[in-house]
Amino acid sequence: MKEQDFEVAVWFAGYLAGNLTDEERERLEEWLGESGENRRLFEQVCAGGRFRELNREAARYDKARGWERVEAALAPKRSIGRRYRWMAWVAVGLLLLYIPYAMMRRDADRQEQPVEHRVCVVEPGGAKALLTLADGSVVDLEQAKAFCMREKDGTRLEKDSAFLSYEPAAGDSVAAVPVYNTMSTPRGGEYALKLGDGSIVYLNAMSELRFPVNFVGNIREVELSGEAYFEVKEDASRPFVIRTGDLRIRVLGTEFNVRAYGGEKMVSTTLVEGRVELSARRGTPVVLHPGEQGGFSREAGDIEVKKVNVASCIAWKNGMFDIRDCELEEIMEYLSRWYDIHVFYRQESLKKIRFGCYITRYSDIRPILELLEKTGKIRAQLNGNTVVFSER
Amino acid sequence: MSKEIAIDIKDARVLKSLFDDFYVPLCLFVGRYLPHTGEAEDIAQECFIQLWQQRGEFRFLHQVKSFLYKTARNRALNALEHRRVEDAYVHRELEKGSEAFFRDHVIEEETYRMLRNAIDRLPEQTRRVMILALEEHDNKEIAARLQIAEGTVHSLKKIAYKRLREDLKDYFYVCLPLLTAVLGK
Repeated sequence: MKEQDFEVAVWFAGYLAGNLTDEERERLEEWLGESGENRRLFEQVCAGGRFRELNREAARYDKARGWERVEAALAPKRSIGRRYRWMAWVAVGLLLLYIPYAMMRRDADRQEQPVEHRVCVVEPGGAKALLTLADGSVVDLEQAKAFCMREKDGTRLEKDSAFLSYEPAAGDSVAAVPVYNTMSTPRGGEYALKLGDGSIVYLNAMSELRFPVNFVGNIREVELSGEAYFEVKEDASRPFVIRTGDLRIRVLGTEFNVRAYGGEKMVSTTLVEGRVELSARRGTPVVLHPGEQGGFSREAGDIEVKKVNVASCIAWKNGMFDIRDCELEEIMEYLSRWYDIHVFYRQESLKKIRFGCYITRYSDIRPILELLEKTGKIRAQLNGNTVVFSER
Repeated sequence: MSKEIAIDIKDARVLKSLFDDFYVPLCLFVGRYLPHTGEAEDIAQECFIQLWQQRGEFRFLHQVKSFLYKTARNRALNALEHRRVEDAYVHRELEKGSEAFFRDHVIEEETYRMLRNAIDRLPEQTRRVMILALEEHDNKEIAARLQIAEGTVHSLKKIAYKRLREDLKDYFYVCLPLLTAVLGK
């Protein structure tokens, strides 16, 4: 086989797709003139209707099933010491005996089982979280059925389909030392919980919240990393405090969103209603008013306040992505917490292109990629769970 | 040209992307040697398993392509050898051993592969238009089938041709080593 054979295929495909360069056209014509055989092949491959035939034939082959078989055969090989090499031969012998048997089995299976067709889809996230109890044991809330149990201070935990609630024990709380639970969501996970004081927290993907199952003393304090939306129950006598790294967010009763992902430079607190106070390690505390966002710079340690579109910042809680004028890299960083995807940019410059979109977050990723493509600024291609962006 | 495209089959991910690209064309190719049998898929799969076992030997994409087609042919001819007695068309088998038969079908399957891959990367509607166009439907028929205006068919085709120009070559592999370097961690 000659390297030229592959080049001929490129010309043919180019001819069929109607986009040969002048140089390629010349070389193709030259090649066609070389022999009758060449011309006959060209006519056969590029004949009208051949593409349709090949498509029809190709549809008979099942790529997903094929890969399953290949993948199964890729077991890693370890080097085997000389002494044990005979064992390998025995194994090969056994395998040779086994193969015809397995093939027969497989043929039999094939007739019995309906063929499964797999389409490559990157599914959206859902209600997934791990709950670490006071004694260190871990409950997988996605797997666990609805349950009801008591923590060691008597607090009642109740879980239904996608919600976990804490109910303090009847009567005065006796425990002087708070009992902590930790909820953490994986990539593509979200979960809602009601804390012991009645405040509700929606935890976004790849986030973690550590909280006392029942608040003790005159302060309600939790720790957050990642993103969460808080609906804090009003209680003027006990302020609610969220700690995330060096930032302290203090509220009385209000609704707001905190986005504090470790990989991001800023911690953003967006206030929906009420009043919150942000304090960094140094400097005076900053008070936020509804519609404002306080951006805490992890590096500089200072807080900057700006007006933002609140609906956009809290859209995730309502099951939407509402992205406005953001750089592609930032958007994909955000999406990849929800979808199990890897992102690759063929050109660096693509990362800085700005986009916006408003779309449900409970569909697979394709519609979002299509929206990005429709802007005409970029091309998005999905290979397995890798998104490849390239210039248009 | 494709000659310069380097490849390093260092993990299963690279193999998978090769598989995604070449599996169906390879099945079609084996089918030329062994029509009307269920063996094409088995043989194509074995080719990839062998590719994996010998993965250290390949540095360029064109080497992988040659390997796949040659291995597929050898395995197909072996299978034919075993069946020769039962096969009524013995004289046709002689033709199948020839270099010309091999070359013609490599070219055909490669043409189809590149075209199909490039088309599959188009956005949905453009893709449908292109497939129908290649199946020799004219703009009017395509418009009727997809329930869009003839003018739209025309402009979608224009877009498709423009994009196919970039996608037709095996550009995807240029970024593969990089990609796996990033993801391989």
